[in-house]
Amino acid sequence: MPEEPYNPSPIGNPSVLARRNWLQTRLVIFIGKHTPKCREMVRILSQSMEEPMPLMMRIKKRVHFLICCWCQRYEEQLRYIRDTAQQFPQHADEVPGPPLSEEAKERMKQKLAEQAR
Amino acid sequence: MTESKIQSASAAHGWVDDHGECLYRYALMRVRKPEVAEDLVQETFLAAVRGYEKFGGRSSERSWLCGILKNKIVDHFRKLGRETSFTDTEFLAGEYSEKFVSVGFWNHDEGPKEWKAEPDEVMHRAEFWQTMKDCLAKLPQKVRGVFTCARWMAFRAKRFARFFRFQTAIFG
Repeated sequence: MPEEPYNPSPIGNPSVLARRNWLQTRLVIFIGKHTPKCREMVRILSQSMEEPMPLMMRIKKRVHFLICCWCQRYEEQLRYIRDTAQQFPQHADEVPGPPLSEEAKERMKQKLAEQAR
Repeated sequence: MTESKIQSASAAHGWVDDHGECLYRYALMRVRKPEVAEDLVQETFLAAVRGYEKFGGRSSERSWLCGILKNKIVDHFRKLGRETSFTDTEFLAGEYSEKFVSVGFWNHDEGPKEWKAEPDEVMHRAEFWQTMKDCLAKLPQKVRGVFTCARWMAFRAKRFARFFRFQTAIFG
């Protein structure tokens, strides 16, 4: 049986463009065809955190965002997580588990003494 | 024993007491396993004794020892990456496929929600960091290593980081 054509309702869609009228629908379909699908977009966005995105892809990305606020949010949230992640070590106050035990310290001193000989 | 060996042996004697705790906590945060953290700190001290001559007191002892420890931690995760298969990251990639419809667009109900709170203020809230810690705890060890050590690691980190970010973005 052939699959139903994808036709999401525009109700509650916060994106700039959605299938609200004839013109927007044409635009949405066109952009959907000519920019990466969200599954792919998400992978590209993640990659762009490491490597610079080529100009053509950046244009496609901005155009894709017009029809897809979720990918846009994804990028913002990804950036935010990446930035805060680097601050994480300073903010994690308590450590998992007990501190370095006296026996462990003794073991280390022992090994150091052995190496010195 | 040579002059330098005597020097390094006497210096090392104090290191465990002065810096052991701090180095241990530093490592424990990143590797999460007490035995592994202890091993890494041990190796750090041993390496420090061997390289004491080169140190020459350029920086503080603690930051020097931390530097050695960082490298040990990175080596640990690199070794982990070589020894285990790629199934960890493959698993992550497939995990949230239900967030998308079959044609490849976001399912509108499953997509990232808007984050209401002003992001900067959130950083000071203990809750936020607890959540981040919990998320970290759920990750496979290798991927978690990338997260905490990402800046220190080179190429291989990118592949792991990609899938990790996908997952944390969904955790919200």
